[in-house]
Amino acid sequence: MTTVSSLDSGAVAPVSARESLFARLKKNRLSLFGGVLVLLAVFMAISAPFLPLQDPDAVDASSRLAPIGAPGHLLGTDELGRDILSRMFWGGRITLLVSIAATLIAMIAGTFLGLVSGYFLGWTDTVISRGIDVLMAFPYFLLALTVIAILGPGLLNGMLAIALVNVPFFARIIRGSTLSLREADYVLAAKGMGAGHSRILFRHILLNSLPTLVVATTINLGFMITAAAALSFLGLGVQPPTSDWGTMLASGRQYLSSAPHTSYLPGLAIFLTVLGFNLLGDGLRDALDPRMRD
Amino acid sequence: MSQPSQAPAPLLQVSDLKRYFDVKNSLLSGKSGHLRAVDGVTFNVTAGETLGLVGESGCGKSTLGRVVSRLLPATDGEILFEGRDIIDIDRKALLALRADIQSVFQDPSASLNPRMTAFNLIAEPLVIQKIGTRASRRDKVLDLLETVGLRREFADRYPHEFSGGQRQRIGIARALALDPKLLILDEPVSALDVSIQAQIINLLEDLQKRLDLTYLFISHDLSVVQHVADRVAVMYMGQIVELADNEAFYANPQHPYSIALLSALPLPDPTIARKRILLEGDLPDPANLPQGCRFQSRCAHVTDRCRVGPEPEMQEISPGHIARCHNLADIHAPIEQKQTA
Ligand SMILES: Nc1ncnc2c1ncn2[C@@H]1O[C@H](COP(=O)(O)OP(=O)(O)OP(=O)(O)O)[C@@H](O)[C@H]1O
Ligand SMILES: [Mg+2]
Repeated sequence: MTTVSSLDSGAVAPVSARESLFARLKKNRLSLFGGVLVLLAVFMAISAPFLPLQDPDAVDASSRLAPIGAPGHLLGTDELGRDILSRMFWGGRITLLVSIAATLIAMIAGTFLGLVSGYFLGWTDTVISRGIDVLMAFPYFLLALTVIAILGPGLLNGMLAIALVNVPFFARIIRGSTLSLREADYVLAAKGMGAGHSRILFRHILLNSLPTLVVATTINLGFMITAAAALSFLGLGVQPPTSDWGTMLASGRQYLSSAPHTSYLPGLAIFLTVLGFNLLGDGLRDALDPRMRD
Repeated sequence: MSQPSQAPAPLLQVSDLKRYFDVKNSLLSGKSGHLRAVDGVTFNVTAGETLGLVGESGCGKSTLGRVVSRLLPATDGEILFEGRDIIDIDRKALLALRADIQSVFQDPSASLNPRMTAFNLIAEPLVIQKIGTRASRRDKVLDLLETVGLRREFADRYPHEFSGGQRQRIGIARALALDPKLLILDEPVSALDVSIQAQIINLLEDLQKRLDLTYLFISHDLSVVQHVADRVAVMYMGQIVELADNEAFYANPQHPYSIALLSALPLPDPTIARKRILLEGDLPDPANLPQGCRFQSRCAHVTDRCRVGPEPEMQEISPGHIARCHNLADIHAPIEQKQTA
């Protein structure tokens, strides 16, 4: 084929519309701070096996409830003489792992349901949306407790329980974005080429919902950490000897007056991590998807 | 219409096509009715020609284009493409038809997925229709970029990195990827700067000649249509009210609506001025049309007959020139006045 003579000049539209995500986040100091907190938590979770930490489960009856700065125990020890620094790292690993896994499960299930109900509408939408409404009608924690009552306590079941509770969060957000994106001209164009439903759903609608999804996932991770810790605190999540921040908080609670650091430290870790995810989520939302602001 | 028997069968034949949308009239009354976006449209498009479809915003041009390209279901009527019905066809036939009829949309920034590169955008129809190998598709896409006047190096850029005109070129390249026979051009230049419009129109005309394309060219700009179209159809409230060859239409419009629309166009000879006819009166509610002619509320030639049913039928003025009006005999195109300036 020959070239049409009137070649458009190479001039290109300014790229400012797509100022890098990092550049936009950097302007928002709070969310940058949130990002640092999140990175710190993630670092603790990943690095636990590689750092010269003591065995988190090694009991030492001779040095129980040692204070912060005690020789050999930088952050002291708990009621069984276990090294708190090591347990903060290993416990954080469990808390984060459970929360991330639960968020991923909720995200995948919720996204799929939201896509399908927002795209096909009709009775599919009615059935899915009513199901979601039923899930949402239960008080958040009661539903998780019900699931655990059925499945029995434990790490995996606790994770499934809090995942289920968070499915509606994703389903509603993605249904909303699907409802608007399904009317986009590029969806019409794809239909005109003969694209099937799955191509339209995943290549076009889901791909353009990704910013929304990233924001929703970040915000949801904050909820999940609280939920995972709360379940463990109640003894319904992680079972001994494994422990996470939630169980540490629970066992330290009995020594609040004599050795407050045994509960303050895991509590602070939970608080800062949740704060980190929420601040980062807010910043991402402003940068990626301002429409999500309530 | 009487056609000489040796004339080739039209590429596209549309008869009495209707597309209604359900609308709720009001939240309180809960009454619902039909909005007749396309209401009994009949026309043919011959292979190789450009049929211009003009009319005000909301008259149903896009809806008509979408029904013809099977992007919206028809409510009633018949569409034949190459002599075969395309409304009642199975999935396989529909997929094949999609290759033959492609669309270019008004706003290229809305019709190109912002998260796909130019390459993937243009390759998508080939991937969907499972045409060629990865390598042959690559060659085809790069050729298409050049065909529409873009550099091959642009293939990996995203839509936001192009100018409006360049984006529309990508939209055109994508529409050409499947070697279609008919292109539905839905206001392909309306979203562009005036300076870019001419470039895109030239490109479209050039492509039509080289690739034997047939165009249904939708526009609300009568001067653009005068430039590109072989024949012109004027649409008003879901119906075609006049259909004629380009020369006949612009020299001798028949329907009062066409006359009013054309009176706003400057004449080529600046010493001659047309009498400008302003369209006054309200548009009827498209979901609740009046009895009689749809144009009665704005017509300068309205008579009692127009206000009572039935609606005017299409009448032939000369071969190939038809209009839908009771009073054609009494209406003359506005007298051109010599200005003594
Ligand atoms: N999906 C829909 N649901 C309900 N009504 C619709 C829908 N699409 C179009 N309409 C209505 O149908 C009528 C014709 O719309 P259409 O978009 O075809 O007009 P148009 O001539 O292309 O106008 P424009 O020049 O603004 O593009 C309008 O009254 C519009 O509001
Ligand atoms: Mg339109």
